[in-house]
Amino acid sequence: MKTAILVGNPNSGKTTLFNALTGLSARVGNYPGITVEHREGGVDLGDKKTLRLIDLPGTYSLSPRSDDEVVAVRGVLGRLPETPAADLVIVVVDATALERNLYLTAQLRELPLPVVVALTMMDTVAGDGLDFDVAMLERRLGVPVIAAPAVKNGTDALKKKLRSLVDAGVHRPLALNPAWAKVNDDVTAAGKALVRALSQPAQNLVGSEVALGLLAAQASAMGTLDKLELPVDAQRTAHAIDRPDVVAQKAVAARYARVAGWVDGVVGKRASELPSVRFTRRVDAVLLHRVLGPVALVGVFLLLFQTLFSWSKPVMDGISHGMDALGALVSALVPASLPLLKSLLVNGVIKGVGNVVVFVPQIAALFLFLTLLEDSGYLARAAFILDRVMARVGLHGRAFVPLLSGFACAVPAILATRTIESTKDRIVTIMVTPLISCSARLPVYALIIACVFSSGPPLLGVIAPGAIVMIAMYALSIGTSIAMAAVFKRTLLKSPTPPLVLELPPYRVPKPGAVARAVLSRVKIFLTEAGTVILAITVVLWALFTFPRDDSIEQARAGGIAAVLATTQPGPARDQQLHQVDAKAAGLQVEQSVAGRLGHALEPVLSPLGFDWKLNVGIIASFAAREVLVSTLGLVYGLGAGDDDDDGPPLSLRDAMMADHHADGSPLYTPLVGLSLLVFFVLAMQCMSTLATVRRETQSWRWPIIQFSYMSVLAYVGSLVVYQGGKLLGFQ
Amino acid sequence: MNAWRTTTIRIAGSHCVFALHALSLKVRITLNMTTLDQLRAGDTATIARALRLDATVLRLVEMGMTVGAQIVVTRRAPLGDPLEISVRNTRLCLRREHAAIFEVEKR
Repeated sequence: MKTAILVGNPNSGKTTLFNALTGLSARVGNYPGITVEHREGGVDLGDKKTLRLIDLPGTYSLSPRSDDEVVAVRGVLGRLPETPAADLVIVVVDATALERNLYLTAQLRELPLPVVVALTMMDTVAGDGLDFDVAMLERRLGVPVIAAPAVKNGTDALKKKLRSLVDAGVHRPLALNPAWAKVNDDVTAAGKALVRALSQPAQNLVGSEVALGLLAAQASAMGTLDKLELPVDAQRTAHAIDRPDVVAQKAVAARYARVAGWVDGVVGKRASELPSVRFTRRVDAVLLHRVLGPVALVGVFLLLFQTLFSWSKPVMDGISHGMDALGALVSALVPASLPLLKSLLVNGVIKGVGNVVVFVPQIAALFLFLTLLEDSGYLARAAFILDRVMARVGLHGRAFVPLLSGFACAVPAILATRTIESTKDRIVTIMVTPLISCSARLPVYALIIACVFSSGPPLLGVIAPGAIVMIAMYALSIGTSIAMAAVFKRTLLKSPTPPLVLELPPYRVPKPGAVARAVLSRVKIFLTEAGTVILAITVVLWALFTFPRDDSIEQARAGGIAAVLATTQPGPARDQQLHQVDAKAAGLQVEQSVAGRLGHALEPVLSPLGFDWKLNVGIIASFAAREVLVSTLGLVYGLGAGDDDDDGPPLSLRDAMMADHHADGSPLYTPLVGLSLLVFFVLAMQCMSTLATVRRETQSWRWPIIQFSYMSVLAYVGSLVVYQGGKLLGFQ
Repeated sequence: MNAWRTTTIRIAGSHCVFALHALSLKVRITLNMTTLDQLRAGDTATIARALRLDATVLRLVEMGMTVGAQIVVTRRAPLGDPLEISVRNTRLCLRREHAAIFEVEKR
């Protein structure tokens, strides 16, 4: 099968063309060892002939700056793992910004590549009433030029043309730039030799080596030469040049001079402002306005927040109820003689599937939003407005969306870091996102605050102490994430503040098909790749809480039930007593399970934070999801697991916790212990779903392990300082 | 004597005029030379040179900000930084720290 690759500037309509050509066959893939994603699919050329089409990341030039661009350049040069050199290099060129887009084409034409140019946005050119001489451009470029159709049913002609090109084989004319002869000042002898060679009529391999050498020199000026893994000769050439930056600048100027000759007279001129430009300018007069712009931005993000927090909640509740119903159904179907199998299916597998599926509404909602913002062109504006703020933190303007989404849930938020181009900045954002206080921490805050901070007198007569504590926890969360971002930027992921080089594309109406495709593919990847890990860990946690089983507890429970049945009449009172017997047995069972023993074993480590074994068990369980702390504490207090969905903590649990005492009779839950526990929950990495997602997004276990470790240390030290410091200051 | 004086005056005068021309030219160039970050919204300029070449500047050059390219400053972001310019039919945003690297001739 022949292979074609798509390259082009960001926002050039490359993805739209890819979707139109590949239809439903497209899928997202990763190159082994490379975190950058690519998409590929088959193009049906008719007569059972298929063309393999690879969509490379968008790039402005062949001198890469980011890791995404490195992948694009390596793809062009046929130097990606498990990917053959392309039989066809399709350069996507936005006809509305011809000069800038043809720069990449000029660079490609210097290499021995089978280049074909596909013009996009031709409908906008036509809508602006401009004439575009495709034949003239084709003549001047010396390679086939195809006008890509704007509508889907226009792809037949395009496919036909592609087929004829594939069949005939595009010859690979080298078109070295004669202007390179002038690129000769300020360079060393090696550079001069290179440039002399460049000025030769090089229609042979030597020419391509020279072109590769220049490409290497430019990559060296960008600081990405090592990542390209170019042939040794090309690297040697680059190293021999004293000032690759100067060579690069001159080469760019020479190419633009050449492009100017290509485009002269290709597009008709019009004196007045083009309709497409006017529309975008008018919208931007509002959306980038000094006052209205930020107001609109806040509005857009409030809507996003509302969607994540409130509007996806009914769907998520529906999913958990559905899973509960499924559990009840399975529980009824499995015979009572197999309690372990029943427990595995209900509390392990079904709960695990529920843990995965419950994220889908938020992921779908966030990606729907993000794709609409990106495809319409607004996301670039948001980054423009927010850059000043985010640059202070050392992050890209685009890191704002993931960080904000983190308040709802870290899982979709981490998936949303895809819009950040630089891998290092992306990983920094991924690493700090779980520190943002997500909605799963709220039930925990509510329980602890209800236990220890509900009694005090209101401050200033109106503000409940609980509210102050809540605000303080959010402040701690935001402050720590900003501080840790700064730490990562200076240590493990050392890189300068991402420079803002941003293009503001014209506003465009997002294509519903493309939006749906983006949302579905993201959900699918989450379900298949992160979901499997989440499911596996849920089953492991189930096993920790179930084994070993103590038959004497089961016998005592059976005896207790028999006693209740014998002594009390049927009715609510009896049901309650039966529930109490069950709950007490479940509590005892947990205490002697692996998790319960771990809780006891951890006491020496965690008691300096003010925690007892019951809290330790709760912390182990909350690894499944933070809100599970509430139901687990219910379990170990012998109250039954209760319902996670209840608004606010169950009062009986609050009372049981407030009544709990140390051996010496002092209360277990003092405000200081509560504060220490709150700080722990703000800072600790207690979410396997997040870790599974980080693994999937960074393609390695390294980052989730680092994340888990640093957050655990932060949480431990934070709680230790609060508890021991508080004790030193005389608090209890 | 008279002729000599006239000639001298003429020579001196033409020298003077030439010097003045050169001076005014120089004054004009110096007055209009500035860096991109100093321009205001609506200003039009031609890029004269890049004072420094790092990866970011080279990328901006690759995106069309070559020597001799015409640019128009469209606006500053609401918080004052970055700024938006128009070059070669596209709209670019860059921070003031990078804009300060580009010397431009204001028109």
